Amino acid sequence: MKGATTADAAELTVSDLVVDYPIGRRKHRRAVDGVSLRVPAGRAVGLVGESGSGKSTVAKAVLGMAPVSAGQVACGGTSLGDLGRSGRPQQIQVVFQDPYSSLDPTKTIGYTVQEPLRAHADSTGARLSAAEREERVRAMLAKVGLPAEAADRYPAQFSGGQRQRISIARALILEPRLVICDEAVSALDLSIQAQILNLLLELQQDLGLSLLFITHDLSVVNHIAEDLVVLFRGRVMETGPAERVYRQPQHPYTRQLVVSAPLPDLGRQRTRRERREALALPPARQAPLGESCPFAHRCPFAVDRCRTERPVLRDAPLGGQVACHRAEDLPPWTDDLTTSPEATGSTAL
Amino acid sequence: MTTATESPAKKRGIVRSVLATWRGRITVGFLLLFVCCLAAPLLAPADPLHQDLRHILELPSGSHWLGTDSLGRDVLSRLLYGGRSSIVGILEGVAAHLVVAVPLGVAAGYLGGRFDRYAMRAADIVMSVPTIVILLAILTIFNRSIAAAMITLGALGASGMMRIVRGTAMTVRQELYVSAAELLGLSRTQIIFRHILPRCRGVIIVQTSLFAAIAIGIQTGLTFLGLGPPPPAATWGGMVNEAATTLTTAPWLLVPAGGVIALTVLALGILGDTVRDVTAQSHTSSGGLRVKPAKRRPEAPAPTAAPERRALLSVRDLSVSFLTPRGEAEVLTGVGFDLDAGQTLGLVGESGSGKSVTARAVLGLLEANGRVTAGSVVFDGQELTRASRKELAALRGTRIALISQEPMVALDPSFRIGAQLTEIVRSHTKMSRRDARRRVLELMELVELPDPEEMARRYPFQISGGMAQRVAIAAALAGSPDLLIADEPTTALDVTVQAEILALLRRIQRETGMAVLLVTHDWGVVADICTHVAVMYAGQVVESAPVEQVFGASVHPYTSALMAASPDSAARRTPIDAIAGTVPPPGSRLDGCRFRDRCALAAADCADKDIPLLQLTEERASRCIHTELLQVRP
Repeated sequence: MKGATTADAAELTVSDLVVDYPIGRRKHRRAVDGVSLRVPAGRAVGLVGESGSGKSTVAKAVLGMAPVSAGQVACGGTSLGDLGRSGRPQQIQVVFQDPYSSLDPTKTIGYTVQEPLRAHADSTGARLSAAEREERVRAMLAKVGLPAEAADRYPAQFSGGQRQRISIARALILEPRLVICDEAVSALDLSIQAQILNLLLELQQDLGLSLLFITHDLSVVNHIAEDLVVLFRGRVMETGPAERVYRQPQHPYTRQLVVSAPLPDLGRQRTRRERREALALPPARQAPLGESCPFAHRCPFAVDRCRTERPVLRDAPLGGQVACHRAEDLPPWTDDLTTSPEATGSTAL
Repeated sequence: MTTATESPAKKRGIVRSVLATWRGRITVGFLLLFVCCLAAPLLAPADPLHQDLRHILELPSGSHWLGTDSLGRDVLSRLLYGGRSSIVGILEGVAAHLVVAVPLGVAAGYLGGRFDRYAMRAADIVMSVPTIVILLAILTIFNRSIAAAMITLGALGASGMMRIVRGTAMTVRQELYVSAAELLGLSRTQIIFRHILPRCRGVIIVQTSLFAAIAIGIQTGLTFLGLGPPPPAATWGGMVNEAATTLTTAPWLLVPAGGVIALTVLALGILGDTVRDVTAQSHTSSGGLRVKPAKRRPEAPAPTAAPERRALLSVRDLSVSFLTPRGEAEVLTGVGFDLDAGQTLGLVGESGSGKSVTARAVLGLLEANGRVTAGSVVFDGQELTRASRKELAALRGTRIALISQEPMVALDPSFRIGAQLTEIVRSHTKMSRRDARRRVLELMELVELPDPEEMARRYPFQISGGMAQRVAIAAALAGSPDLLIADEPTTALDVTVQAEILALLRRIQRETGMAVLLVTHDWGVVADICTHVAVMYAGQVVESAPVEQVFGASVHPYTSALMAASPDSAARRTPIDAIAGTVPPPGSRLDGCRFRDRCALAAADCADKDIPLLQLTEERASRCIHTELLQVRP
């Protein structure tokens, strides 16, 4: 399993992706506007953004479930081009947010987890015997922390966290190289979310998976991702190593995101709140997309140039990339997480 | 009523679920009798055409169980033979119905697009065709063939079932597991057979049984009019017709034929209803519970000692039960806390902890099957658990207000925001319309809605979720409440919007001094806005204290474990200290300490007896008997 992942580098490359959703006749809404990102082999990349940022649309485009107007999606060097949903290579799998809608209530867990194996057999002709399939299912269920008896039961008998484990088992049984987690832990309670995050992290490290982790929750994505891509209204605002982006945000939007996320610590949250108030954000208002920076109307640092010229993603002063005309002029940022227990430097490679 | 719910042990198929209800058993049993008509040649005591003019219009007797008709023929035998032709006709009709409706409906619903449009237009056209005229024409062309008429009826009537199947298929198509199956590369046919059709099974059975009832009605109608097989042949409609001619001399004759028709139609209708009930239950997480409303009032509220310190809101030993088909489930057990003006109490817990139920019980807004079984809720000296509906209504909105997680739900999409707020203001005060409108603009400014004038003219669907929550807060503030109950007010919002709403709540609270009861699962929100915390687990408060003390060093292992489960608490990409297991649902809660099976500090004595909420200091309480072990934690 590990040999395969190191030999042929599985990675996802999205370049200049544009997705337009039709609204009414001849009109469309641009959900994703020129997004590029890379998921290197074996690495966990976080895609973070608020509702309407287009983060889930990027996932859908990769999975062939969204109308791609322009741009390229390539997996392991092969362009996915116009392949429909069903023509996708099976090395990309997905775990969705809603643990209830993700499983067919009329099928046993064993059937659901086996289904990828059957589909794979249908397309390659390499059939497994029923006993082999059951063995694979049992092994997979054990890997995600479920008892073997679970195979004979129905989704209604499982809690949200257990269902998410089942979805993960289904995604992993074909030994994919890339797993897309679309808000995979957002619907879960804190203690269950921690269990699933631990499981995903362990599986990613053990199996050498590439992970595209999509979420609105900065603390979750900072925990699991090695690289971060920050989206706002369909455009990439900032990219870079997760630690750097989280602790030294170089885009005003990322800074706003960071100071808006409340910390479960009284002192640090007080500091964070004061910093947020100090940012003196203009009131939220809708601004038309056009040749302006999409964040200009909410940005305390916006100048005329920001309203007339769209900033391109360029190398940022502290590493990574940033799409801001004024990245160099922003006030210095002091990390408010200094008391955090973590050591410096990435812990996993 | 009998509502079979899914037993946790095994999932039953539709047939077994139907048979588990008495309605299902009776109707299925009756319809099986009806199917016995197919064996009429074996079962019938006499030849249905054999005339015996010496015994005409006889009442039931040993030799003729249901009597004889005007030509002395055995009524039971004729009923059986007539039933046989009815069944054959229904089967033909139903078969045609299914063959046309199901494939078209599933395909239209699942494939969508052009196929769907064409199929639906065709269905519209068929619906506009006058069925009865076509049937008469068919009967003429095919020489009174009931089979031809029934097949035509089945095909023409298919558009109704087709629409319903299409609707179901469209809903199922949205399910993520269908997306997952598509991503696996399953073909459309495979997806339809494996994932779409099984979910449509319920509606198909319901519609089939209803169609069968209609088909029986139409078939007997046609034969009654003499449009079916010519006279000597036994048909139910023909028998009713014959009975009608001798109605005055032999009224009994109408009973067997009329009764069997009525019962069959009724049985098919009830069967359809029963199938709908059981299938509606089996795929919803709540199990489609429908229970009779319980008494809202506690029978005899335990006399509780008056609180020494008079808080604005004082909840003591509050227990709430919900009536479920499996019996009464205690959701809250002895919940208690105090809240003073100007304070913000965070009710923190995971789903299933009872935090939302607590908030709703305070307002007397429990769902119909829930009731307060013990304890007291005293708001400003008034006991709320015994308050009448009217007294509660007077408090709600003016002295106690509520904002919820889904502000959009509280707004009527067909009215402008300004009009809705004006109505709320006027319901609390006796203001003139003009003054009320001015007050609305003030409120909208208070909640920092941009362009209040313009915003007031918008409809709810024209604003974002964050704006909607501001509108909901404006509505809550309309009556200048002393207590605001906020049930996960920012959970559905983006983090930047959440920060704005929390800042807004903090500012309003500073200005008005109102108390806030905030239900949340987010420790960050607690740290941001709360002054006090009550942590809930499995229907109990397990720890309560001022916020500094909880964050400083909690005195219950669940609190510390829940804080440690936050991804902020662990180093990047290292395992988080997750709590194993899940919050137990009501009914499977442990005796003794309810957290002990997930607790790292659990000892043998934790199981001995129910742990009371131990008052450690004046402000601090914990439901743990081993707090000394916790103190070692930094």
